[in-house]
Amino acid sequence: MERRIVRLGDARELAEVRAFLTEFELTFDGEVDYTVSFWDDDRMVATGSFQGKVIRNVAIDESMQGEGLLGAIMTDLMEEQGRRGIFHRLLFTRPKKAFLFAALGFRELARCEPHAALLEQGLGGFDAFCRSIARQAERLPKGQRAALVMNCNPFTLGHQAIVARAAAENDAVILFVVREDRSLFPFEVRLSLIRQGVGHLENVLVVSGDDYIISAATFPAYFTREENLIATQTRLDATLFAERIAPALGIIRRYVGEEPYCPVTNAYNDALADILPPRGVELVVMPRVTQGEAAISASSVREALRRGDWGTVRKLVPDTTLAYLQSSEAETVLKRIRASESRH
Amino acid sequence: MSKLVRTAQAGTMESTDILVVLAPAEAGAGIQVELVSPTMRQHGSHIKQLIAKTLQAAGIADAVVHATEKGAMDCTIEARIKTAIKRASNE
Repeated sequence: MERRIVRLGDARELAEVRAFLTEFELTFDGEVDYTVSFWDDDRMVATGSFQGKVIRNVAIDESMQGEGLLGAIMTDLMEEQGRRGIFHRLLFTRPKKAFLFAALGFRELARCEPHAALLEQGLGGFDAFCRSIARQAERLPKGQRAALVMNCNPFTLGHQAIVARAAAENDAVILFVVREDRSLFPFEVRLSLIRQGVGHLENVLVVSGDDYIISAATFPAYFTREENLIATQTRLDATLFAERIAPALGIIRRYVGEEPYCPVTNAYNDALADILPPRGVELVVMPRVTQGEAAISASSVREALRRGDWGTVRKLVPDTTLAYLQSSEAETVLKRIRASESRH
Repeated sequence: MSKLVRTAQAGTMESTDILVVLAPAEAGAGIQVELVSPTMRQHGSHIKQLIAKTLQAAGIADAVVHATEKGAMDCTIEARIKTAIKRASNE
């Protein structure tokens, strides 16, 4: 058995991994930090990759299964992660294979039959995430607790209205901010604008959703074939929220904004409606706050910023967000918005 | 005497071995061992004690340890912990 580190810049080596993974119905986009492969007489028999803390694309030729290859691959991946300072790992696999990783000390967090199971291993992790939020939530009023999950790219009057309504209808609200940095406004900015924009609501706690709410972990984009992709992602995320996060933090209700524009967010709301109520978490869908004819959305704010239309921006965002947008701190972000065509 | 200054890892996921991640902890936090083992009920407390004893012998009073054990012998466990200590300290 020969172990080879795949050169991710080499098209031929990538094609070999891709061809091998096709047999397992796994896609390989090459967007990984590290890939290892094992070879037996010039034939690839196993491979595995990771991107940051997320281990993925682990596959072993059927004829070689039960030879301890899984332990060897996982050791290789985890040693390399350790060298890069990563000591907490997340992993996706098919639900029917999850037991193999459980035997290696991975703990299952959620599954979406028959496509994906999410597991984790190492320091910190889910319990630490819940403990830290529970500690911060001690200052909130006792009683009925609701949750919101927001990206806020950037924070608008629409967001503010949804949070205000949740705060009025419940004793306390935990607002989870999407940690994943795939938006034009960086996480730290989004978090700070939200904190400023809801600062007047004393029963609202703003926290990071970390790896566990709409992250590369709960939305494994690479994992399934296209037709199941969005359903799998959204259902896995909703399941983790309903079965683990809500009970750990005493959340009985979740608010979402109605989504007129984005098909992914729409699918996410559908998954939440399907999965939350049977697990004891009520879902409240709020209509969009409108300004004139159109619903207020972060994308319309970005569109106005792209055009330099400050009159429109002013109507869509609270003073706190406006002050940031007009400050010198916002220059880099504004430059990026003007150069971008992205919806997100 | 060793002082932990960073998080480090030693061992493997293979059979008869143990994979340990060792991280510094605040003074007074004590030694916290999180263990995953197929023989948790029979050997769990023995393995945890062995890990704590090995750390204490190196002069470490505060640490966080995450260990995934797969039927390792005591000498293996000690060796992996000692390696992790070396990697986590400035020796």
